[in-house]
Amino acid sequence: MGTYRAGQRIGDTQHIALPEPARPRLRGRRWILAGIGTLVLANLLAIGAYANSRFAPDNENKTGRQDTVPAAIRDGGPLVDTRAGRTVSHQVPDRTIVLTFDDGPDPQWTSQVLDVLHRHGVKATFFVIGSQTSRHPEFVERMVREGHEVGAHTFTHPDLPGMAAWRQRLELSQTQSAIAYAAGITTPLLRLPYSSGVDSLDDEHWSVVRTAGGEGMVSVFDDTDSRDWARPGVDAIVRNSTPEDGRGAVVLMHDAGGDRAQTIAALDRFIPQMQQQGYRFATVLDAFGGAAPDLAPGPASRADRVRGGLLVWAVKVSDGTNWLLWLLLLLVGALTLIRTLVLFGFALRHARRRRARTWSWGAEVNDPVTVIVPAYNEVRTIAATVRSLATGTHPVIEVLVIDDESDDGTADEVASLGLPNVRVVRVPGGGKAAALNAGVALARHDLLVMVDADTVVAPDAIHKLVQPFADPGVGAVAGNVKVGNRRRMIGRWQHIEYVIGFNLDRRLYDTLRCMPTIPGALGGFRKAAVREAGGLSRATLAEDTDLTMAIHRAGWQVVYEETAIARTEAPNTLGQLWRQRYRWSYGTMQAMWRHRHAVVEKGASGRFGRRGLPFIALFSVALPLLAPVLDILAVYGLFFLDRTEALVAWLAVLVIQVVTAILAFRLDKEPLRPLWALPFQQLVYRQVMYLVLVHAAATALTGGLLRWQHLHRSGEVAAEAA
Amino acid sequence: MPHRFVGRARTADSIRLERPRPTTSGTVRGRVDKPDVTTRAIRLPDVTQAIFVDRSGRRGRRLRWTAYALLLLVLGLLALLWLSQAVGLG
Repeated sequence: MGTYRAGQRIGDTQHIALPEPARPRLRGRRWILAGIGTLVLANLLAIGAYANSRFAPDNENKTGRQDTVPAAIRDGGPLVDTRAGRTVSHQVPDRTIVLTFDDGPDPQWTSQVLDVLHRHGVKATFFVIGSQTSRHPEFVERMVREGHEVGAHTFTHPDLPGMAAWRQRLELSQTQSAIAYAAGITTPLLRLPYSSGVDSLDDEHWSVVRTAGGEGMVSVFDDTDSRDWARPGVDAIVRNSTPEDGRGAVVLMHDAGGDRAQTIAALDRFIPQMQQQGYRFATVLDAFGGAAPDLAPGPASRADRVRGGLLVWAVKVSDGTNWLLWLLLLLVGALTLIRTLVLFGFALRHARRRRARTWSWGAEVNDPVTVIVPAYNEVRTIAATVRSLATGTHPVIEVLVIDDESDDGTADEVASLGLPNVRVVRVPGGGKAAALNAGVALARHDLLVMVDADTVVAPDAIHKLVQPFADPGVGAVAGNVKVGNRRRMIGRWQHIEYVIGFNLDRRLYDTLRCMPTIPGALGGFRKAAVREAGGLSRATLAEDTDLTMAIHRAGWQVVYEETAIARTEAPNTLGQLWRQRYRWSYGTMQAMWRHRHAVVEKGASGRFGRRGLPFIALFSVALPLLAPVLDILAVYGLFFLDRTEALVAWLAVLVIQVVTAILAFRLDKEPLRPLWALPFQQLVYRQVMYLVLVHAAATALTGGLLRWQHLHRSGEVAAEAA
Repeated sequence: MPHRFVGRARTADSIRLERPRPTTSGTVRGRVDKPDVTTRAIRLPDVTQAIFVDRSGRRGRRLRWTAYALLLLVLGLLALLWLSQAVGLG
C-alpha cells in the first residue's frame, strides 16, 4: 500500500497526498526578509542612539592652549566672524542686552520662556540643538513666528574639536536641515557647544570657528554667563547675568537640560530690572546687524526642507521604536516576574500537598492497563521502550505496539523480543493520531497509557501513573518526562528546560486544574475520556495538546503525577530541535485556536478556557514572542548605553532564571550539576526557541502547510536502558 | 392582504404577526419532482482539516507582498535619508 502521484510511488500511506508545494522563487527569502528587517531595525536604533547622545553641561570644558587664537579675537567682542576670509569680532553696543538660550527646544520649558518674553515684549536668540528641533519642531516654528531669532547649536551637542572634519560639517548641516524643516529658514548664527566667552577660546575651538566660517556661519559667544545650569537661585542668576557699568552683553541662559524653573523666575525679574536701568533688549541681528553683514536668516530651499523632513521623521520614528522597545522590555520584565512568582507560589504549594503524609489519590489502583506505543521507523529504540513497559511493576500490563507502516523492521524487532504481554499491530500509515486511535480501539483494558517509542519508563512508572484514576473524575494523567540523552550540551539545555519549563509549569497547571498538555512521551487516559473527547484528531500537529484540551472540555479532570518518571530521547542537533519545536509551537497554536470557544463555555470547559488558554497565550506564546526585545536591547546597551548597566540588567534576568531553576531541580529531586550550562543556554538556546516560535507564528499567519517530521533517533536512551 | 401599522410603518400582516398565517393567495405555476434525498451526501464539517492552512496560498501571497512593499518603502526612505545626509556634507 502506498501513495502515488502521476503513476509514481511517492511514499507509503502515511504520506497524505497533497499538492506539490510551489518552489520558492527566491531561496531562503524568509531569511532575506528577516535580514532586511534586522537592517532596518539596526538603522533606526543607530539613528535613535545618535540623536540621544548624552552630553555634559556647557561649562565642563577646560581651556587649552591659545597660541593660534588672534589676540584681537581673544580680547574682542562675542560675535566672531570668520566668513569669507574675515577675522573680526564685534562688541555689543552699550546698554544693550542680547538674551540667548541654549540647548532647546524643550517641551516643558521653552514654551514658558517664550511666554515670559512675550509678556515683556522682548525678543531673544535661541541656539537650538538639531535633534531636539527634530523632536519638537513646533517650538522652533513659534520662535520664528513670534519674532525671535534662531541659531544652531549643533545636532547632538558634541565637543566639536575632538571630531573629524566631516562629522563637524555633518553636525552643522543637519542642524540647518532641522531648522529649515521646522521654521522654513536658514541661519548664519552658531554657538559652539562647551563654549563660553571669547577669552576662553583655545586653539582647538578656534579651528572649529574657522571651519564654521568656511560653512558661512558666525560664532556667537557670551559676555555674561547666568550659570543657571547649576540652579544657584533666582538672585544669583539675575546677578550673574547683569553686565557691569552699563556695558552691553550677550547673556547666556538655558531653556532645556533640566529643571529651568529658576531660569523662568529669574528672567521674569531680570527683564524689567534691566529695562528700568535703561537697557534695551535685542536679538543678535538687531545688536550686530549694523556692524556685521549678512546676519539675517534666509529662506530655506525646497531641498533643505525635504532633507530636514527626512531627518526629522527619521528621528521621530527611531524615538518611537526606542520607546516601543523599552515598553516591551518593561512588559517582558513584568510578565517574567509575575510568572516566576506565580510559579514559585503554586509549585511550592503543590509540592507540599503531594508530600504530605495524608496525601492519597484513594484506594490503590491495580486495574489492568493497556500501554499504546505508536511507532514509525523506531527500530533503534523500540526494544528498550517495550521491554521497560512490559516488565513494569503494575499487576497487569498489556503493551500494544501500533506499527505505522514502518519499513525498517520495527514490528519484527518487537516480535523478536518474545514478550508474552506484548502485541504488535500493523496499520496502514496514517500518522501518529491515527495510530493512537487504532490503539484505543484495539485496547483490551479501560485504562490506557500512551508512550512514545523513544521513551524508557521507570519500573514503577505505569503503576504510579494510573493511581490518580482512583478518583472517578480524573480522565487523564500527565507523567514526569525527563531528557535521557544529556551528554551533549544541547541535551543538557533541554534537560534544564524540561525540568523548569515543563515540570514546574505542570505543578502550576495542576493546582489551577487547567493542564494544557499530557505529554505524548508518558500520559495515562481513561478510555471513556478519550472517546468522549472524540479521540485523537489530525487537525493539529500537537495531537497530545489537542486531546488534553478536548478531555478538559468533555468535563474530565486532568492531573499531574510527578512520581511517574520516564526518560525520553531529545533531539541531538540544533536542526532536529528546530524541527521538533517548530511542530510543537505550531501545533499548540492550532490546538488553542481549535478550542478557543472554551473561553466562553460553562463548567469544566469554561474553567479550562478562562484559566488555561489565557495562561498559555500569555506565557507560552506572547512572552517568548517578545523575548527578542531582551537581546536587542542588551546588544543596544552594549554599544550605545552604559555597558555596566546593560550587563547588570542581563545578569539580573539570569539570576531570576537560576533561582527558578534551583527551585525546579530541588522539587524534582534532580542534582544541580547540569545547571552550569544555564548561562550558556541564554546565548544560543533561548534565541533558537523564540525564533522557532516566530517562524511557527509566521507559518500560521501566512497559512503555510507544515507536515509531521520524523526525527532521527540516536538510540542513546535505549542503549543506556539496555 | 390587509396592512396594519406597527409603530409608524405600514406593515403586512404576515410580517407583523408573530406567527404569520400561511398565504393562500398564491398560484401554483408548476410541479417538480421531489429531490432524491436518499442518495444526497451528508456534508459534515471536516474535523481533520488542518487549522490555519490556506491551501490556495492567497493569504500567504498577500501578506508576503505586503511585507515586500513595506520593506521596500522603508529601505527606499532609509536610502534617501542617508543619501541626503551625504549630499549635505558635500
